[in-house]
Amino acid sequence: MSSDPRIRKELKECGPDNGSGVFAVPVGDDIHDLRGEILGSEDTPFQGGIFNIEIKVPVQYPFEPPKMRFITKIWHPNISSQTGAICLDILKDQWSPALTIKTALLSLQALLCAAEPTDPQDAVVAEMYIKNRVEYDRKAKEWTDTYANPSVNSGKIQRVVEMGFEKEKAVKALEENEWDEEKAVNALLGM
Amino acid sequence: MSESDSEEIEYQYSDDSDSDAEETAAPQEDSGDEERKEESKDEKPNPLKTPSGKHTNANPNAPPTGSSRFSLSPDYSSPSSSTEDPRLVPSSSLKGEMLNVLEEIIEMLSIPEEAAGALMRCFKWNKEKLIASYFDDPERCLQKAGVLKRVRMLEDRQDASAPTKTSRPLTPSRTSPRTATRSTPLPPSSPLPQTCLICCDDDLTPSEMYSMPCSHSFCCDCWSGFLGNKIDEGPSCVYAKCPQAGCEEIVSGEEVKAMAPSKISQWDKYELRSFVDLNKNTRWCPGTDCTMVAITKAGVGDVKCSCGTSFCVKCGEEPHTPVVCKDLSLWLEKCQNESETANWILANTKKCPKCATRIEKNQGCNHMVCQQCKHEFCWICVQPWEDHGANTGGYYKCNKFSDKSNSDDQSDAAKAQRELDRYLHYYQRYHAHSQAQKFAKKQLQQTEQRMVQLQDGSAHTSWIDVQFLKTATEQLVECRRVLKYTYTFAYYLDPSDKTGKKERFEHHQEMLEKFTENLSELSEQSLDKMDRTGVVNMTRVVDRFVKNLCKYVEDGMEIED
Repeated sequence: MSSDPRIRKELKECGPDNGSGVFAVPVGDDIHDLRGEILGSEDTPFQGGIFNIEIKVPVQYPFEPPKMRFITKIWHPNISSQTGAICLDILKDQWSPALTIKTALLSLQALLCAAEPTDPQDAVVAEMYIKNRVEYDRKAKEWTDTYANPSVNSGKIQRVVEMGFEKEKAVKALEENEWDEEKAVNALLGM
Repeated sequence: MSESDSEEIEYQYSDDSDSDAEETAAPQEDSGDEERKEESKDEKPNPLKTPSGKHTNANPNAPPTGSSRFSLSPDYSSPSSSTEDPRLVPSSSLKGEMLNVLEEIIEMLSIPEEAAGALMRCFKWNKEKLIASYFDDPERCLQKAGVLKRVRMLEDRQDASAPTKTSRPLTPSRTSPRTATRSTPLPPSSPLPQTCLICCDDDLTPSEMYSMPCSHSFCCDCWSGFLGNKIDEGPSCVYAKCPQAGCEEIVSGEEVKAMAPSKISQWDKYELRSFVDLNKNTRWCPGTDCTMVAITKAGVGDVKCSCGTSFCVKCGEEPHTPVVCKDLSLWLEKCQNESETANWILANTKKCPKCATRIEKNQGCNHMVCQQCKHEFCWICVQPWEDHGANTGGYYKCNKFSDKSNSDDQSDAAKAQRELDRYLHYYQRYHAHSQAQKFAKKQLQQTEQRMVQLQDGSAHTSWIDVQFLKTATEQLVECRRVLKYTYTFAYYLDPSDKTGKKERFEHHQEMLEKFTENLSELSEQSLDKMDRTGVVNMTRVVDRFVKNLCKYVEDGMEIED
């Protein structure tokens, strides 16, 4: 059985602006290679963030789960801060063919609100989550603003870059200086 | 067991292809078993028992399968059957073995056979554990095994159709398990098109839909694709659940038969495989391409398979008295440290703490679930996962633990060096005997030729007269094997023991070594110098000594002499 009709049907139902806070669209012509987007929920450190998800739909779909990975960097116990790999049961052994790409994305959105630090993907993040929740919230928000929010910190980055620094170095300096532009620039100048 | 029960169980098997051929075997086997006698009055053949009947007839040397394990029947066909433990059965009679176990559960709990299979799998074929759990809380037990709906549906059926007796217990259910059938769908449901949640086709007639006892309907094509995919994934297909998200009802052979009939033989294979793999009282013969299975009541013992492989039923290694399985496993792992492969395995894998299957963690979190036995554990500390959680300080406690052990190692470098020396001492001797064992095995292959030469050398010598040479060489192989493991055993003896156990053991070991070398020398003599009496005597002495040594160790090495 070809999975294509079902994927097409699913794509129709979870295109942009469907009102659910998540959507998925094909990257190119191949409907097995999708790009998903999740909006960070309000009252979480991810609020205001737009998170991009790489979705690879296997040939055996829906009998096998779609493979998902965060492209946008995110600070979360169940998502690797390095690779974006996700630890979520329904993307592995708890997958059911009656689930859809949309339900999987909604589950990811829910995962952002309710982390499972006892079943971590990223041990460093999970440890911080358990030991120092305030610091975790701060860092998660910082990462959201840096990598997932085009409006807040991107302005700061933009300005530092315009002063003639490389973007990577600019971001690093801003991070190290708690997003204080002046301090970051001083650091970059070695002052 | 009620009348309707027994009928229903038979129904499940009435299409079993073996049943006709075995009809004659079943009654024979039943003699002596009161409960079964009653059933055998029924005119239909009861194929539940036939596979074992088949086996009894086909293999006169092997003990009758299954029935000797659990039935009340005192004895039949083979007198040795009830005492032989462990025993070997061919994989062709595994189904009979499995059904024998299931039959008891089916009768005791009045549940359908398919449910009994899933229940037993859930409890790893530990009947006592299952029964204890069932009588403690039947609802929870059935839920845990994913058969609650299946069992309840059967009960409902019995209630609803008791007077008519026409229902088949595991008929694929349509929209409503209680009333719907293939031929007569309910009038109100027939005109409405149905939607399959998998392929999203929304124009399906009820007859194109199928559901498990949990009533979650999907179209037949999707069922076929779903089951086929699960079975192609491999042995874990026996744990497949209803495709509905969150539904815990487990898929059974009944669904496979109905929706993916081309895959049923593969499914059956995996089912039997899981029967042997999960069950701690069964083990595949480790011989190359051998498909025999050792079954034990006691869970321990050595067997010699018809393929020539001898093995310990508990761990699958070569018989290893006087060493216990656990020490042997530690030892073998230690010994293999040298090779590249072993280094990689040690660096990248861990053993499942429950079934000892090697697991490579190539992705994901620290919450491990063993594919083989479904044991859940933490990758860092290898402790059960259920011990982990927020209230115990979370997973990261484990990191601390490993840090600590590292620092201990460093501070005890000298101790480690001493330990290495101690290990090498035992290893060198173990290895020497291991090589000698291989050599003796080679010698055994050449013995027959030597026996012919020996017989030809003297006019009055018969074939029986030269048998002693074979017996001696076989004894030699055995001695080398035991000697090899005495060094493993000695390595794990407590070095600080003050009761003299270690010294006594080493004394006996030395004696055995001396006898073995003697026997080796005598049996390898050139044929013209062969001392028959000397070899025969030495063989007898050594045989006795080995047996006593093993017994002595088994009895805990208390002082008697």
